[in-house]
Amino acid sequence: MSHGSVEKCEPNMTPMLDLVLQLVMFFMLCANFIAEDVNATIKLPTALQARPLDKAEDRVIFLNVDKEGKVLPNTRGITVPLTNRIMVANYMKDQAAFDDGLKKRAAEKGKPEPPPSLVVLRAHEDCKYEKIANIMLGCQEAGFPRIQFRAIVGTSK
Amino acid sequence: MSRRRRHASNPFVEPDLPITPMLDMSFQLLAFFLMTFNPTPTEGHLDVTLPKRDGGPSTKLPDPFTTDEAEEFTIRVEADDKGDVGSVSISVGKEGGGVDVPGKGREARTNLFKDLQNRLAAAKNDHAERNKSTGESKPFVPPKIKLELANELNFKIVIAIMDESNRAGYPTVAPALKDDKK
Repeated sequence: MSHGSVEKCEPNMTPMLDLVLQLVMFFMLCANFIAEDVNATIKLPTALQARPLDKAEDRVIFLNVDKEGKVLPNTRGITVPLTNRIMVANYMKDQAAFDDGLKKRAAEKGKPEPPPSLVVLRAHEDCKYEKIANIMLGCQEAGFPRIQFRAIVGTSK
Repeated sequence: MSRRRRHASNPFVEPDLPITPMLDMSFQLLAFFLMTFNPTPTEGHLDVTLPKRDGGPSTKLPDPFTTDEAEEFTIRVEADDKGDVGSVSISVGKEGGGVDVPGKGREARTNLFKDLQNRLAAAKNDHAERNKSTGESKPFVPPKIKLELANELNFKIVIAIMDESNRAGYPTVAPALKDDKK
């Protein structure tokens, strides 16, 4: 028994590190910080027939509508809640000006005219339909006929 | 001296990579992402067909309610004091009146779903017989649905009615306010 021949006993860290880095990668990819201009406070209704979103859409305008029917501020120009149809129509007219710019550029390049932007209404499930209808009317007045309702994709029991 | 001797016997120097700090950092990152991980439920969309408005810009789009071949069902929904379905009636075309769907709330929605399924089956049979008698093979176009909704209905009820209409086989549903007769 000689004390001079003590061997160093180290655990093999490499597989563990591999695993940890893979987990880190997974959570980094899943972390969706600012994917869309969506508001997490809105409780969406559930629909079985809700279809997945079309990734081919060039420009989508999200309108988050709370329980009282107000369009909540977003990162695209809404600074105060929009409370009536006229305010929605004015905001959407500003957005229409951007669409017109896109159309002009497409015409200059000889490309086909792009369709009007898609408006996605993310409305709280307890909001009264009258409020939603007024928002849709505001969008329609400003020249946005393409509207979709957002819902949580439900599963049949 | 001893060092020089070891170098002489083994010319390759084994690199010593410090894994411990890297592992510490990885664990910290892992803990951060684990704590902030909040999987959001999958969102989808329901397409909305806007009813025609006089002088509105939406007239650029094809309007399903002005085409001759597309039959139209009008579903009128009244609200109760909680924003749920109070009463439902269905009429064909632009005629007034309509047939009442029995029940309230969820029961009314279930009965509406069954009624719509029966009407679609009948419309398919009529279409097949018409094709047989004329010798043509025109494709079947499901009737359009126009919803005339009470102001006080909750949005989730509107979505549920649109959802059930789609599930019953009607892809085109146009929600409008009951008092908005344009």
